[in-house]
Amino acid sequence: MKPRGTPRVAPVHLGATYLLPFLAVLLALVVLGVVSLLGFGETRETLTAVRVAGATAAARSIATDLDRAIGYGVPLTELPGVEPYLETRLGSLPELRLFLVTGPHGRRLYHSGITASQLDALLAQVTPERLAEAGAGEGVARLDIDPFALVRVPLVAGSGAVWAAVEPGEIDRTLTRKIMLSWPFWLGCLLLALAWAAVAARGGVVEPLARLAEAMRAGGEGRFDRLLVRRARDGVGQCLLAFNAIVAGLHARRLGVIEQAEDVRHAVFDQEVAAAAAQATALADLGEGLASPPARCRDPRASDADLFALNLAAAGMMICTDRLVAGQDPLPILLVAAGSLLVGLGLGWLIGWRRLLAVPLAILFLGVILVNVLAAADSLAALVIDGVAAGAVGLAWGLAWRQRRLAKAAGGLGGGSWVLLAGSLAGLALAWGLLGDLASISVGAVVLAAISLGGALTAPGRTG
Amino acid sequence: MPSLKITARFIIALVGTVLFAWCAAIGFWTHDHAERRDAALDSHARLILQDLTLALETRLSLGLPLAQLPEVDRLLEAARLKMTGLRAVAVLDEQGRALFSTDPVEIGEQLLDKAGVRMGGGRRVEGEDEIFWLPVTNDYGSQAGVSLLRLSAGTSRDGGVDFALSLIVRAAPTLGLLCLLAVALGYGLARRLNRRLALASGALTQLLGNPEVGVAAIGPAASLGLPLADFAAATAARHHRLAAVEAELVRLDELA
Repeated sequence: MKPRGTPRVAPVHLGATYLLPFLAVLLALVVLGVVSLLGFGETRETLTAVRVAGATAAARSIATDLDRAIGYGVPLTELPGVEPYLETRLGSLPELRLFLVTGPHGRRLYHSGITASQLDALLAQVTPERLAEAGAGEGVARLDIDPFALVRVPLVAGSGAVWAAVEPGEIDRTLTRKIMLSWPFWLGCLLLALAWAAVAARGGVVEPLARLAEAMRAGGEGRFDRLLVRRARDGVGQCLLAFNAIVAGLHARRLGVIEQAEDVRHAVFDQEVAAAAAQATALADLGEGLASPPARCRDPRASDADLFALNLAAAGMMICTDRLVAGQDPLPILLVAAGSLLVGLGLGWLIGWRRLLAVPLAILFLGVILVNVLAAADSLAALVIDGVAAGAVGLAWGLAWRQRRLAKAAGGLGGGSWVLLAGSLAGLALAWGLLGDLASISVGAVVLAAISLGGALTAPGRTG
Repeated sequence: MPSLKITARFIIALVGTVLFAWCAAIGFWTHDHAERRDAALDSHARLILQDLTLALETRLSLGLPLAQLPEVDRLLEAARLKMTGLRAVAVLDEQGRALFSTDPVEIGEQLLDKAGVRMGGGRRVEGEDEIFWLPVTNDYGSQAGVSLLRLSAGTSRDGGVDFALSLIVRAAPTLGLLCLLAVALGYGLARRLNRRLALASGALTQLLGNPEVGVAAIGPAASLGLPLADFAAATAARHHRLAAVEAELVRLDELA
């Protein structure tokens, strides 16, 4: 029996539960911040080393050319065209900031990249002690003088040195800019955290308590016509159990009274007493709400399919986005994706939430992601894979919407479709942040599809 | 998560979030590092090739053909030492066959197809190696050959793996701490909620034990927004009525 009741379910007051999504977002933000700080430092360190190696190679190359000229007997101070040559070499490595050629006593002879006055200020900080510390006497030396990392390559017979510099601070600026420009990626992570926590809170606490509130409200109006059979073994489950016991107790007492009245009526021959007993039986009839035994309410919940659907949508969007911008003609891919999305949506709506179907679907999609890695360049494969990915997104939306409708029709909480939107947007944003890196995108999609599979395995089957 | 208790559900949600964010951030930085390292290696390799090409072109000005240039092997060896991870440095003829190479096995081998030679420089992944090449031109501006270097693709890949491992190791203590924090927060949050749920179920149980007590059984703390008072009042009213009928039936039974 479908319980009658007002379709609109008033929310319950669960302050602590509503904190869960915010705490999840806060924790995700802290993790992203801390790992990014470490990643920033690590990247700065390794990139500086790689760039210094490049600067060393460039300085060595210039030193070789100058040594050759010196070898022909031309004094370093009289070499023609050195500065234009340095300018040309500076353009060959974009991360290089300056080249400098100094004479035997460290005096500036030729330079490119920065002004003479800036160079003089820099050279003023290069003391013999610092040079000795850097091992300048033994060959190539590295000195860190703010804001540069300098490399010094000596020329033949102490005739001078070639200097090259990179700017580690420039790496900081580039990395900071990258972090800022990657805001969709960070937002995608936060959206997923928010959606997961919201699904956990809705499925475990908000929806069952809203169902209890609705049943109690009906009871308050005299309709003790339902028992809530779907219970977890926790505080919420105990509340539902107590509610069921009260309703069942009321029905049992009423039936007891009716039986007692019948006994009294049949046991006596006194017409007045029998009439009074019949009157008492009528009094025990407490209205339609207690007229028949309570129905067992199966309680389909909107969130039942959410963990599966939102992660499948996110994984699908990741693959779809990567394929869409993989360098092939986007129009056919867009058309196929849009068509598949609509077909998936319709199919999802028709099928509805079925765990037995969701599990193989998630496994199938995991297989598709693996094929995606292998069939990287083929345009037909791109069309097929994009179609499957968009179909998965549509399917996720379709069955999650159908489940919402089912839950609402059964008097439960509907709504909460924003978690699906959050999942889809998160997939888009994560793929955007890793664009062009098929391996990383595939790993991300595999993780999401695996969570989707976990969601399908742990969710209840079809209820209602 | 149908059968999970509230505490477990909250803890799993928060710890899962921490783990996911941790993996996502490491993935992001590894991807970014790989891109930058790749760009740096690319410009480093090109610089070495430019130097080599310039030296070859200077020697070509002497009027000798590319295959007969002197001291090319010394040039190639010097170029190979300029960068770690270089497998080989070679000079190819106009057909893409190796004339000189730091790897003697390659001499005479077709290292680049004709299309590649005509491209006038480029970069390509070939099996486990990544090759870079530049055209070598003579004084008349026509192509005399190609200078090529072969870099182990593993150099870049290993660099990426090293970076990821280093970041994982550095971030592991943070992950541990934040997981503990997530467990504590999930537990604390669930505890607050469980306390209120216990009050609500306690009130309902009290109502079950003494149904006629009605609204008096419900404390304000137990409400959770549930219409407990209305429900209790309706239940109590019906129990009152049933109690009255029971009493009447007892009276009638005795009367009979």
